[in-house]
Amino acid sequence: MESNATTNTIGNLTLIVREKNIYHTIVKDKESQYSSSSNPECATDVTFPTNIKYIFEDDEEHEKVIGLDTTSLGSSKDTIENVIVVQLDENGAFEDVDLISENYILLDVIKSEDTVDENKNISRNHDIELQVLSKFRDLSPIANDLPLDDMISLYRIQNEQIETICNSL
Amino acid sequence: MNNTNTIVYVKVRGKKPAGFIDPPNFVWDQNKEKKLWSIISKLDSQRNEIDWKLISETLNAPDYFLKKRSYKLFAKHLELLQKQIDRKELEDGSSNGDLQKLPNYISSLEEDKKTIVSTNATDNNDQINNIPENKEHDDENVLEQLQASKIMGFKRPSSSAKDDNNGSDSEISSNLSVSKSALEEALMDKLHF
Repeated sequence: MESNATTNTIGNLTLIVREKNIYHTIVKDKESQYSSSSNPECATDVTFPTNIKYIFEDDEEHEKVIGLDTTSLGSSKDTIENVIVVQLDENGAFEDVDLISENYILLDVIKSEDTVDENKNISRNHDIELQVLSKFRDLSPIANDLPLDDMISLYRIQNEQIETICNSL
Repeated sequence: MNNTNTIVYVKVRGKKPAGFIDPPNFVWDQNKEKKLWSIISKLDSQRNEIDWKLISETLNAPDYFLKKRSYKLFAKHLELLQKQIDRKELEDGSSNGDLQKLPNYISSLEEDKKTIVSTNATDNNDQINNIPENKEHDDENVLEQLQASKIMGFKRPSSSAKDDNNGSDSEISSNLSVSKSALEEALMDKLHF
């Protein structure tokens, strides 16, 4: 007799971290002035964290990782500066995400999810973009020759970012 | 932030599924993104002919990730293309708008020209209309002067003085007639009549 029960399996996770520091906005604008076409594949404000470890809460082994037993990280334990924690429920649905870092602050999360059903085996694939802000930089070397309208726009963006950070504290 | 200084923990409620293994750790950066685009952007065949396994081996990344990035890159490039088309249409629209405005501009120029011409024509007509009057007036003056010179230094009085000297015309006529008779007498004497 064939079973009609469906099972949930863990799908794939694609994670992108996009830096929203206005430094990148200025650099992009300057590049677009000298280039007739921009290349999305050459974006310098995007990184792809692919060092992903799964922790199952009901699993006994997870406590080692939760306690940051970095033996599983091998030689990279001294170089880890940023930790991203994604929370999924028992069905693999997205619940929450957090960023632990001294250099970056999480501003916003853009997430999408697609469900794949293969022989009553449902898996959820997650596409998560973290919009983060790094430490404010000295922009004077690159912002000196900007038009006033651009300066006003950048000032507004940076104020909104500071407001978001203040609200999250 | 990069792949070496960043780790991602995915916390899942429940037990670990049987046979579950963590996804492979790989490096993905702008160079690989460029390479991927250089491969997929040149593909003009059907979807089932894309050899994801080969691309995965070439770029050392799992195929699910490559498919996701390919979709994103195509979407982004299509968005850029749409922006370029919109910008081009906007530029063409504005230039067409100028061209559409051109006949109106020309007609307005023609109107201005007509106005200028008609104004000049009015001025000229005024001048032309004034010319005969002046000419007549001048001719009249010349005639007056001529007549006056004909009548032996007798200057015709001006029109303003005409009314005042209406009574003197008969005197002039008599003077002329006297002069004429005197000449006749002198001639008679000369001929010894």
